[in-house]
Amino acid sequence: MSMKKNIMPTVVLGSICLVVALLLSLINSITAPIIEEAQNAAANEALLVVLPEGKNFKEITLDEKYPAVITKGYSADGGFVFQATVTGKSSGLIILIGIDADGKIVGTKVIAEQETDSYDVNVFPAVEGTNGAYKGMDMDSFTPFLVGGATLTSKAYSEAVKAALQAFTIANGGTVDIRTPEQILQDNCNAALGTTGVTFTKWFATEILEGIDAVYVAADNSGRVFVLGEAFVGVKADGTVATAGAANTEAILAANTKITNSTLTEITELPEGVDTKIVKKAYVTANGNYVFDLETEGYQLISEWGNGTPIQIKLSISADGKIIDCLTVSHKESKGYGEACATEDYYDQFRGAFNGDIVISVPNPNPEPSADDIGADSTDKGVIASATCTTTAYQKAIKAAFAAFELLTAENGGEA
Amino acid sequence: MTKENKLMIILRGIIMENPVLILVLGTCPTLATTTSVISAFSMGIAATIVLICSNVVISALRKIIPDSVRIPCYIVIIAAFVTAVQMLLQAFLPDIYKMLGVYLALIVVNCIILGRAEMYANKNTVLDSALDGVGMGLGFLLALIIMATLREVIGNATFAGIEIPFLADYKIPVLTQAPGGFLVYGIVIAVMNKLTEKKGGVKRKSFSCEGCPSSATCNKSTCSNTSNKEVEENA
Repeated sequence: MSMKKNIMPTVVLGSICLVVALLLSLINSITAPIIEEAQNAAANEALLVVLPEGKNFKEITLDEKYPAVITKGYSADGGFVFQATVTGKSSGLIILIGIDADGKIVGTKVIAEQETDSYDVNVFPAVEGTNGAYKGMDMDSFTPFLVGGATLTSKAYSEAVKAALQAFTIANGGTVDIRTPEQILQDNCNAALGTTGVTFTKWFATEILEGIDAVYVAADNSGRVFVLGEAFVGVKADGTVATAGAANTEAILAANTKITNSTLTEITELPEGVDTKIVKKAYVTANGNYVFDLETEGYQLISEWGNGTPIQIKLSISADGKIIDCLTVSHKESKGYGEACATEDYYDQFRGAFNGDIVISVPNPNPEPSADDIGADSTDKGVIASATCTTTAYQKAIKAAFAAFELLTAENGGEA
Repeated sequence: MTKENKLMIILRGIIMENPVLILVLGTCPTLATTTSVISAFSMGIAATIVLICSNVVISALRKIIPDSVRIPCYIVIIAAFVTAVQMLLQAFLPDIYKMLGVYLALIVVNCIILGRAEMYANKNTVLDSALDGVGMGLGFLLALIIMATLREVIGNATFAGIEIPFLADYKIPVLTQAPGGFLVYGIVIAVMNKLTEKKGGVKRKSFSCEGCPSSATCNKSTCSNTSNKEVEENA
């Protein structure tokens, strides 16, 4: 009796589960093909938007040869469709790109996005569809379609399209360098110095190096890499040239010595009149160049909605009053607007500028970006569209550095 | 049981023991799917089918299922019907399947279905249980339709997706959101209370077995005598 009492519940529950499983498998065998067919039709419907002539879409296997942003690929009788997942203003911007058998773009379509800003979303109608900006482009004729004020979104879109064109080449048996520009730079630096896997950072220039475009310093202090046009030349820490067959080695070694000797001496007492609210620290090199650590009030400090963080800038000025280098050290300016101040394209434009070249576009900006304020002065150096406060803050910081430079040189009798 | 009694089983689920408005069961899908009449109707029909089928099977197996494993058995049976409905909807009515989303799968844990299995189907005949399923299912459906109509018409100026132009300027969008759902739910329950009160309905304000709307079918000795008497009086 007790045995029956113990076994019966198990038997009954087990039997019910068994019957249920059998019935469900029966229903599944009926519905599964219909569901699969409907899902394929839905997927193909989306694919047909970007490749209307495509037939018999089949998903292809993506390996490490394909760009990382390509998340799905389909081959069809009329070409290929690639799905790219990129990050615009927000992550999760998913774009379908249809490419015909000749490698030309047929159409593009956003299938998922989090670009909440209406201005960014308005980019899509101009770019996508089968009459969009990229229609007819192939790998050779590819040109990014960038929209001012929606830079991040349109840049991400172009990145997706370029990756799809690369994926097309790979899918057809070709080879493509899918490394990012940063990866290519790091690889070139390592090759020039004969190292592997070492990270290089750009040297903040405190000296004028004639004929040298940029200098990169190895994180493990194994040496420096000098960039002259297309050439990368490595110089080891012991002062020997590491790149075989390098030209201009004398000039490079002289530049290397100049950098080694370019020690910074902090100026502990700044002259009266220096705007210490902006100029936080000043240094002088043996050659009389000045380096300034600056902090300026961008949108995030001026606006009542800001996060209270200043923009930190490093600026070097040569003894003859010309900007040697400029770098945005840190900032928390608004995404899609003021954050452009942290791009190399932005701060590099100040290199070579004299005091007179810098004009403060809008001396007293309103915290809210105003197209009228910025429009009239859009040719001024350092203007960021729709980011009046950031623009003005940056320009004011550079002007303050020049003012400090003039006071420091005057203090030294006009000589650095 | 007479023909009239059979009708009473159905009517009890629709009005006197309405699962949503009197028993306050199945609140989650009620609030979630009543933003539109179509989704409410779909959920009501899906839940009704599962309720009738599970009631029938549980009632048929009531003498076989040991008491100690009755709840796991009920859950397996209910889950089987829900999965079947889910697969059938996905295959043949994919738009409604997408519309109901996760709430379709959540029918498995719908209090109404498990509640009727435990409260009614395991104590009554297959026919009565089926009728109870029909009554409770229709009661659930009716409550969902009432709430969805109020929320969609006033909140979105549409009915089943059809625009009502003259209401477009007066819509109250919050009604289509969660707070609006609670608000409408409260109002509908209050109206239902008022209506049943006039007809000398169930003593819901009494916090005892006597006040329990389901006391008529509950076998607990503490309430069965009085509640059966009460139901007879109400009938």
